[in-house]
Amino acid sequence: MILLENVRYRYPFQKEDALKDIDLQVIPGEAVLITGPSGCGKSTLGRLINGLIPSYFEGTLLGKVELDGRSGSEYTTRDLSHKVGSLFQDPEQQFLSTNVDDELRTALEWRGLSAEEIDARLEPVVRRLGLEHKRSSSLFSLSEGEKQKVALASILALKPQILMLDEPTANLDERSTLELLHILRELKEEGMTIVIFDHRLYWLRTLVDHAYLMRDGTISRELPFDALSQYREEYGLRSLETPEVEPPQLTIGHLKRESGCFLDALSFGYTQKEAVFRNFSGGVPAGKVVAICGRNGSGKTTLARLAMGLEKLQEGAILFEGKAQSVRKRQQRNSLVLQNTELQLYMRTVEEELQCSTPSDLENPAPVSTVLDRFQLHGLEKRHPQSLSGGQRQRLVTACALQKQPEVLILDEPTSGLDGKNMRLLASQARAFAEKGAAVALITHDYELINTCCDYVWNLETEPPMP
Amino acid sequence: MLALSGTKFKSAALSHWMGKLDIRAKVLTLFALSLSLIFLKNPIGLAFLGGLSTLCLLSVKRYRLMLIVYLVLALTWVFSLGCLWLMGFYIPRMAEQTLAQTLVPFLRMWPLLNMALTVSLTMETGRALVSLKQMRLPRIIYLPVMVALRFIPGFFNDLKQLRECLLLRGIRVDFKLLVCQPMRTMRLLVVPMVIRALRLADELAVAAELKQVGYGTPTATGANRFRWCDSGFVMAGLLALVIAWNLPGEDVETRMGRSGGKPATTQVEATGHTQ
Repeated sequence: MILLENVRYRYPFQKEDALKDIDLQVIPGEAVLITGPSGCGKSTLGRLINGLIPSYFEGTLLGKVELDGRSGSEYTTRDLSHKVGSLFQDPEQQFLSTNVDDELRTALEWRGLSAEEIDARLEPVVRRLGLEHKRSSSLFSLSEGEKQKVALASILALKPQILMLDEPTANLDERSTLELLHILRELKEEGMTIVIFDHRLYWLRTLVDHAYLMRDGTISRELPFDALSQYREEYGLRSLETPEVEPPQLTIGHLKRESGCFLDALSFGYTQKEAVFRNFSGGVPAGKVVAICGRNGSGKTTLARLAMGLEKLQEGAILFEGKAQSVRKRQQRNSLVLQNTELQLYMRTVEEELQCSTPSDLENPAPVSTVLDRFQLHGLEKRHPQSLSGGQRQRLVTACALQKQPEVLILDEPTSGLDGKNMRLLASQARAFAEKGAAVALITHDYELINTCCDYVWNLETEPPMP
Repeated sequence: MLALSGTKFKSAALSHWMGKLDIRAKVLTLFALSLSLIFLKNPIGLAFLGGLSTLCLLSVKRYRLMLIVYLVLALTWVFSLGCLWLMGFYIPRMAEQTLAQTLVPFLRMWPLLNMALTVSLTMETGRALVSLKQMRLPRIIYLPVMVALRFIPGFFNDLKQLRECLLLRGIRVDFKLLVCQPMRTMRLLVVPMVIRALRLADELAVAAELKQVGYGTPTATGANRFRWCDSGFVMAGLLALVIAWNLPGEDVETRMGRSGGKPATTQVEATGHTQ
């Protein structure tokens, strides 16, 4: 059992507590959800449960932390990692190897198990997660869902009593999310304790027993899952309902060669043997928001990279406003926001970042203060961009991309790990920008985002059909 | 995600024969080679080792990387020739260096670079950690080494992504920008990379902590036992070193390497004068 009573924690060199007066009790075999707005302290609470606080993240920890009736201080990191397995949003964070089998073996080898014991432990886990045919594969060749399964398999092989998952579906498509849900339900039935920290809620309805709402570093409410809907607005939560995609499918009839972005009979492959696209056509109409969907690995990001000239087209043409543009012009006139926000921020302050993103020859650029207001970054103008939270960084890079006033704006997974409030803010900005006449494409698995702001859905597994 | 996304070459590299060898065999061979290269002065022997190690690197199929590395090596050599020529105006004996003499240090670097690249490009980090631990190296040596090796591919991938992100912002990082706006260029390159490196280091440390890497004693499973092919590779490496040492050809020493630093011609003249 996990028992936290009146727990306070402060990171080193910080003036404020990251966790305040935390009371939490998780009974063995229970599945609980801990959710709340971005920056409310979920990840810190997770680090406390899996023992990274105080063993790795030092600081000031006060209050009672107990695991199975023993105080947390009595456990070594080694003991704790026997008890708690942790699965993160990005499974690659956890990989120390580059091959599936080696990754599965590494932790077991470090525990001193013999080869026979390791095989005996791995076999049922691998079979359960359907990874038998992937054991000799490189981790790089796996889809996001498969990587998540490998990370989960390496944890399950260690036979933990508690499984802690931090935003496990943020990078997963719908099919992979449902597969993960199925596995977690089985584990729960077998008696495993499951603690999930997540913004996406709809997939958890049939799994969790009850939920905790967090805000400002404290657990403010404990309630049944369905009761979360009452607090959606107040806590900026996402929808609890399983979303069905509402916007219609994009067809060739929606596209015009002379406006927006038009992809004409593209062919491209990273290797000569395997083509990602062959004679592929599609596009994004001006004044509309199009969601580009498809399973992991279907070529969504590749398509954006091709459009922006980061990959070299093998055949076909990409037209912007009816004209084929040089790579340099494409990059100057259009914007693509990639997933890694850290590599897209360079200046000393938020204000400088926005100023630097505004082309000098632009007529009527949006004033920085207006942009700060629009993206709810007011008050942060003097902060270092890299010191912002994940949600704030995502809003800032999107704002920087819009400062160019691009003809075509492409956002790659813009809401991965964002809470409901931030997701809705981003959706409204994308919508508003499209209404000014730009073509906006959102590469996403997030059905809630799609329903909030998209006009059409373009599934890359099928070309836009004829009307 | 990012740490792996740009390193797709690894899957191909690891499926090839060098990738299947035990890291200890490769490190041992690299160590023996490094030691040999300190003392070996015969250009033919050095070229022989360079040629053999090039074959190893070629099998990894990272041709573009090879080309860049060799280009840098060649440019450094040309640069050193230019420096020697300039220094020759002030220190006459510098101008008397023969081509072979200037080439020897680079001939030493050639096989070393080839093997270091081959080892790092075909390394399986998880297995390597266990194997290196079994070599009974102090933890203070092997853990930082392995973390650094795990970090290198991610670092290059991040650099590539950073360049792309700057391009998308309409900023082309080139020689002109570096010369005209050195401080700005440094900011554009250094700030995101330092932040990214700090985050990556944190992620790796957390992953290692949760997997208990560094605690206890790892076992040798079938995946990391020293096999006949590993021993064969070490033996073949040692044999190549023996051959390199015994190949015909005269030792060439750089002038600066001689005791007293006196040029050979001066010595001959002096000898003749005495006679």
